[in-house]
Amino acid sequence: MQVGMIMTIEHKNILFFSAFFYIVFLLFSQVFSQESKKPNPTEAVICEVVKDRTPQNQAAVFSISAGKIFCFTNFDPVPEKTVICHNWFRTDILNTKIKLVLNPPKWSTFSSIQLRESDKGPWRVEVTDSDGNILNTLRFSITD
Amino acid sequence: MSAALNHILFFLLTIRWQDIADIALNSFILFRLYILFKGTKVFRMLIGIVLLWFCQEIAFSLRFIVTSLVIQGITAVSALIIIVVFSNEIRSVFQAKNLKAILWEFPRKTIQTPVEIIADSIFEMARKYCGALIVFPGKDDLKEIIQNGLPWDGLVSKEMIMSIFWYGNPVHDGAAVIQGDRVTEVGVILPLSKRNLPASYGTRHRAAKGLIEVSDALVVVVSEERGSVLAAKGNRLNVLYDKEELEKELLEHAGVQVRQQGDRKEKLSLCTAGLICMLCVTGIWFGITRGLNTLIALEVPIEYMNRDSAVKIVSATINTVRVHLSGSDILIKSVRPEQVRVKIDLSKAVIGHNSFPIKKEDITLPPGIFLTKIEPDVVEMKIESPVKLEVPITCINLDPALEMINTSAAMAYLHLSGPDDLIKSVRPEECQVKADLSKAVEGINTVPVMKENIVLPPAITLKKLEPDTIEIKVGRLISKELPIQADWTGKLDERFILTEVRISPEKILVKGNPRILENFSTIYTEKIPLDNIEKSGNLTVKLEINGSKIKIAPDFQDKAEVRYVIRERIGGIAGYE
Repeated sequence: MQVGMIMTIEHKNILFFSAFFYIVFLLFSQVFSQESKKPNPTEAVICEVVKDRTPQNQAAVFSISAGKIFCFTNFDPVPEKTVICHNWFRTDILNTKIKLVLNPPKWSTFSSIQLRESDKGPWRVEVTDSDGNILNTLRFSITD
Repeated sequence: MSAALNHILFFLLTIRWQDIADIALNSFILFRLYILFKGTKVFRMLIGIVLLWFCQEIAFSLRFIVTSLVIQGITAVSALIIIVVFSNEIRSVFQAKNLKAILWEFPRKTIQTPVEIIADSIFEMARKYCGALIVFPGKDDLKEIIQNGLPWDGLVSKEMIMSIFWYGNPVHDGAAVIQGDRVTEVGVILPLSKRNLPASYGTRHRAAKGLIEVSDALVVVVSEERGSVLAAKGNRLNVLYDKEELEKELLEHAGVQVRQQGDRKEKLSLCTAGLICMLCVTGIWFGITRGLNTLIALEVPIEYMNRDSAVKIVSATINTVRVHLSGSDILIKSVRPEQVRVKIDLSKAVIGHNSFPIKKEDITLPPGIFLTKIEPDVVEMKIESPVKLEVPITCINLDPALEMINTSAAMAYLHLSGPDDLIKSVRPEECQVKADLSKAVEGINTVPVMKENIVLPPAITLKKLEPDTIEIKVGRLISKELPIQADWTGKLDERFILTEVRISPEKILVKGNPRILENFSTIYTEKIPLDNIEKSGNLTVKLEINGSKIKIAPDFQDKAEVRYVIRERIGGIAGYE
């Protein structure tokens, strides 16, 4: 009688723990599956020219005389079609926000701004995903 | 005898030139009033009032209480009656004459009345037993006395006068009024006298008498029964026997001096009147100014004049002085406290202790009042030269987790005093004003600036502090980690590219007000010039946080090391490709 009761209790514990671990596994798998759907940035640079999908003359300081600068980003992998943003800030003030589409399986994209005399100063570009999470921050200056 | 002489001499010495001018001016005013109103009913009423006043004074001196009060009342009412009843006469006196005539001229009229024609006409009518009644108005207004007159306004001529009084004329029973060279009214009814008159006098005589009883007019009556001519004026009725007598009467009535003897008499009369006016005014003046000598004492505040605005009276032994005054009863009673002023001249005051005697010249009194005594006669005072300094308020003992957001006063004004040589050399940097914020809490705090928190140079004392309390708003600080970014400036040589920048530390912890810190996402370095950079290297630069309302956390420095990489440019600049 006593042995029978002990057995019943052990069985109940096993069932309970099995259910608990199953639920935990489901949650983690859900999270990881979400994470795995995010595009992975492999390269993010500010450059003077983008030629043949390759950034050229990457730098941290650009002259106004360059006329135009680019923010080049490369994502690999891109699990699904998604949108990212290139947010151009000049001294903490949002100057330009450019939405770009990423397509699987991997994708390179860039945005650019025309340089004017009034653009001189410290800049940064925040690369964000579709949820606004910052994926990368690039800091540079525009000078004479 | 000598005592009496001394008394007279003392009395003469106390008379000022202003007193003589005062008497002369008022005598002149009284004399001119006499000249202007002489011969009018107003003048007679004035004389009556003066007599009433005189009677009242006698009654008062004899302690006739009721008599004195009654006469006083009558006098007061009479003065009012004069103004109301004789307003026309008073107005005519001042309106008819210009300013020069009022102030200076004597009543020497040039006659406009054709005396000879009138006299000739009157005696011609007398000869023909033609009754006539002619009125020559004086200074009194006859409008309210005579009645039913018909306006005529004709130039005087013998024929006209005779035709007016011709028995067939409807107006011949009334009187004619002649003013100047014109017959102004005819058929006028005069008030009849109710007095007993001789039986030989008829209605015309009674009317003439009635008019002269109430006015200063001259009335000429031609008797219809006896053919006699009678001139009535004042209290007299004169029978005239020839033209010359009538002409003289008319001229005298018009104010024209006929004879030299009359001229002298007039001058004598004017001089006598002038003398009487002067004696009256002198008597009144003496009555007012040298009457019963009365003493009073007044407490008068001291006024300070010519004080240098840079100095301050710190203390004075007295603020008021007791001024003992004497003078006639009337003048003393009329003295108002604000008429007596004590002014001390501080133009010669020096820094430190001063003693100023209060002299007779320092006291302003109304005219006719004499100073007998001043108590006390010296005022002692301490004068200092306070200095006002503007000193910044330093807040101390504030909880490091709190921050002062704003304050009602950043500067305090210190009113300082001290030795003259030291006080002038005190500089704001030598003084400190501290506000103790050890008990300050988040929000608005009212903090008193305690004297023990004020630091002053030796021998200098604080007289006043403005403000003595300040309101300080205190907020709680938060920390935030911010990245550091290099702020490049100038122009990099086109041959090179600055490819990489690394900053150490990469981030810095700052503290500040949450609302302010919310807007900060980067801390920038000071401007780093590019012009002379040709190869990779490193720099130590300051962080640009001056002027912002954030602070670097204690474990961090306000500078950073910047490592940069330079490489030669391959190909041209993008913009020039």
